[in-house]
Amino acid sequence: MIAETGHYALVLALALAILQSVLPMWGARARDAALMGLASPLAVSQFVLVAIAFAALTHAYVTSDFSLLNVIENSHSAKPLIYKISGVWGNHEGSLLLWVLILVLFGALVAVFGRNLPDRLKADVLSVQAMISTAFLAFVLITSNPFARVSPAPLEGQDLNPLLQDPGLAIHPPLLYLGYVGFSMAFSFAVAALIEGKVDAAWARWVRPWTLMAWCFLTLGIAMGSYWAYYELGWGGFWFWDPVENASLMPWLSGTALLHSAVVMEKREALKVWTILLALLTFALSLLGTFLVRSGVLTSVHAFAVDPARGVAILIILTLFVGGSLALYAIRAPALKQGGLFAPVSREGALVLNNIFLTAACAAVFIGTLYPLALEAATGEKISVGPPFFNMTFGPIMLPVMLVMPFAPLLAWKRGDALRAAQGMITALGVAIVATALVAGFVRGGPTLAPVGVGLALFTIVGAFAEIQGRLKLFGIPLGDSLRRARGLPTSAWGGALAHAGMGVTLLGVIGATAWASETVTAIRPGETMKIAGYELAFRDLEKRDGPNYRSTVAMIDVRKDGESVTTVEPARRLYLARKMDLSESSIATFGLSQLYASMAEERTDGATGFRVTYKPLVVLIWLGAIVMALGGGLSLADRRLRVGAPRKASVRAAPPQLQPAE
Amino acid sequence: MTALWVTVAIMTGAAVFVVLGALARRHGAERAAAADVAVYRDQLDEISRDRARGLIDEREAEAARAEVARRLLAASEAADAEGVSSAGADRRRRVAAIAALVGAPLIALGSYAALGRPEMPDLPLAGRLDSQPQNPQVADLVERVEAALAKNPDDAQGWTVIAPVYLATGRAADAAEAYRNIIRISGNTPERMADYGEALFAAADGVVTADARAAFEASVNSDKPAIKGAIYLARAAQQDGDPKRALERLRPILQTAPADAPYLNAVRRELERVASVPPLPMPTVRPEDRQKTPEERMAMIRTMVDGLGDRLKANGGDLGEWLRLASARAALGDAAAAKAALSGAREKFGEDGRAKARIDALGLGLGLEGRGA
Repeated sequence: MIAETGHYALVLALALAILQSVLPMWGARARDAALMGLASPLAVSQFVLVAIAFAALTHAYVTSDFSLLNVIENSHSAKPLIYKISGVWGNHEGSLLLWVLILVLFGALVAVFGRNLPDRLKADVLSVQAMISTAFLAFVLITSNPFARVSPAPLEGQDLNPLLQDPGLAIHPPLLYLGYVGFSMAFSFAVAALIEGKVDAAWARWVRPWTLMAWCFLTLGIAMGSYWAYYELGWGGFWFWDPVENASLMPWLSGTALLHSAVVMEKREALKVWTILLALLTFALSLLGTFLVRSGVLTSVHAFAVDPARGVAILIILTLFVGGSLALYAIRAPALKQGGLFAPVSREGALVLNNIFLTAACAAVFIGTLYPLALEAATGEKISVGPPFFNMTFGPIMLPVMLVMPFAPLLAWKRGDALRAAQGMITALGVAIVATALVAGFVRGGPTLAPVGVGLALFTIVGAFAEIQGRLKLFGIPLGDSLRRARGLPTSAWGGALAHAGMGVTLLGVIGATAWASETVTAIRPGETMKIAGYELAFRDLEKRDGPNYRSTVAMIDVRKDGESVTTVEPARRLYLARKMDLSESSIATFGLSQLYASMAEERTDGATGFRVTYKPLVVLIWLGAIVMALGGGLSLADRRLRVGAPRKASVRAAPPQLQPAE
Repeated sequence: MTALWVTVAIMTGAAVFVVLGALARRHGAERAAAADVAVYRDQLDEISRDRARGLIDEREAEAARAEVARRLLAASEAADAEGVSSAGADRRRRVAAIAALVGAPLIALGSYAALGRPEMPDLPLAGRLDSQPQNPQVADLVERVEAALAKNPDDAQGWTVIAPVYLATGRAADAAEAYRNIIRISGNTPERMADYGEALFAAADGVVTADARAAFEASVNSDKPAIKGAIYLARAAQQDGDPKRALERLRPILQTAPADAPYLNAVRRELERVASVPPLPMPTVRPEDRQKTPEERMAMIRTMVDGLGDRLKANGGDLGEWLRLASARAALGDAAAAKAALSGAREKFGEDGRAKARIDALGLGLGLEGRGA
């Protein structure tokens, strides 16, 4: 009964989504408060219903209800509980249900927390949001129904793809979807603004927290996915320019551009048309990502749903929303009033530069990802666009972004002083030069340009705090004054600095892990040792260990440095019984910010076992940087100023009366 | 099932109530632009705060204030100009109410009727194992035996108990492992080798692999050859595309078996498999045929088989069709006609060794020729 209740809840949610996409929109056109007032309760009910459906499906997984086709295909009674739960979204149907759940969650959040929004904007936004959920609910129910039943039910399921039986899978998709789907809010706001024909600074302020939230989740989601691929796929790389990874990187790039152009719009009412376009494109790229992954046009680990009918359905949804919104944009955008002017050297100017480079980088990734697909569709020729293409396009485009990034916060709005900004960067520049010299002088090996890269990364990290230093005047004025100023700084200033510094941290990790990585591939017998990067790895023995749904052979390896045992690594091979899949389970030892990565090849007949061991200095920084970025985003989000209309705490000092403007 | 419909009714009712409730609520003349004004006031406050803390200088603050003030003024004017229309409000409310009362339940129940399976209860695994009394015993037994074997892997008795259970529950690889252990501990007998081969065969999804074949060979090369081994070796020959050798394996078993041997049927089925008779093409069932009685249908099939026989007599046909004719005649209980079909096939294809083996195999398998015929 629970499964069928969930099924009905999903169907009822579709019915409410249809009402919600029509009634409030009509109300907004007719200036009818009653109809507009339907948007919020409908959005909340829709969320409750989809949540019931999701809970029902989870219940079916947890209790191993093999009367559901979806459970048969992706679960197994012997699977550990956590993977029974994460298995809910470890497959096509379930992950789409999660997608819809997050979509309606955002709708409900706008309904609950958007009390300060103008009624009409809110009604329009929620209507557009409901149109998206209508399309996806229909898609789920018609082509990918997770509640399809099987009678008679088999006694055992086929188990989840062992690659996906990993804690990483439990968190990666939800985070990524929170990001992808979060951008639907920006999209809905943009479409609503186009329908209303009114875009202003206030709009930018309302849309920014949602974009920021989506951006934070997407940042974490991408980093999580990268880390998962790093330790689970057994190759030891952190980014493969795989089309699925690119699909998540594109919305991140355009979303980052959107965040920055929204700031310009909020402060200066400029870049309106551009910001709206970015909002539309960012969600379009998110939909494209969904299409690429879900349609099975790509053959990779992610394409666990290979079904052309579904692909066509997503393509139709994609065309409908992207085409529709761009058509609306073409009609309405010329009528939007342009905002203030500014000089090239100004905060706005720097942000425009950021936007140009980020969108160019996004375009490079777009071409590199879609050109092979288009070529194959048109001529049947299969080519692959690999890392060399991206290294030659994406890298050089992002370089100026990293260089200019620290300067922008130092420039004033409207008209900036380049010289003053440059003075603020002296410390950062000094650190960068010293670091480059030190690395070049003391670190052996690696490409010639690597020390410069380290310098650039440090320049970005230190430079990110130049603006804060400029405000605090640390060491320039008494420490107490500086601290008081620090308390007075809005949290968003700290947030921005942290997010920028996070970029530098990630860059530092990328450079360290690619320039100074070392690797050994050998086959040795128990008792023998291998050497890498000053560590000695002694292969003690092989051991058989069985898990709940797999059998594994574990190699026990002692890691020694200077003759002393520091830790052990235990790479393994697992045979998952239900799917008869043989997987390598890598083992990682972390030393500070660097990692030793060991994976095991198949046992050879001559008694030796093959190992692949890599040492990657600073590799942890790659993901740490992403966490710092997301933390920065979170701090900005926590800034009270983004919550206009929310009741303020009494402790906030009122501004001196003489500074109140005349109205 | 009743509980489900009650839940469905409650959910639908709640959804309708949400809409109707929201429609009934009184809406004051809210002014949308007031929200804009709030944002700009907040921006002004922010400028003042920044100025008070010395984050920006007076000139910058003044310029920023002027800009925001202009926006504030515009928004205030818009707020004054804006009103809420009440024209046609009642009609709109009626439409919305009908959409909620009729439209939504119609869409939901209609889609559910098409997609849902309201009659199907949940089937959580735990509940199902409870309701099938022998199953938990089996699961329990397997668990206990496995635990015992983990402690004492040399317990042949344990492996002997668990091996067939593994095979029956689809854990063929485990079954093979179990038989391997039995042989390791208690030595090999033809039966054990045959069982081991059978498990390997099942683990390979019904292919006689080299390992399995070796096991079967060992099971028949003794003074007391295992029948099972021979049957599987016939299958191996058949999978190699050699019906002659398959027939050679099976014929002696059939000829020496006592009349009530339990494996006779298995051997006969294997022989029919060796003959690889193509299935009888089923006639398309027209709607009017559905009304027919079983007798009328039998008559239809008879006519069809007769038609096939006539056609083959007139202009030959291929071996598959002849075998099909013989097997259909036998199925219809007409042994003489079936035998006639077999000799017809022999006349035409008897020269070809493979074909002859298939014909002989079918004759034996159907029990028309050889022993007892």
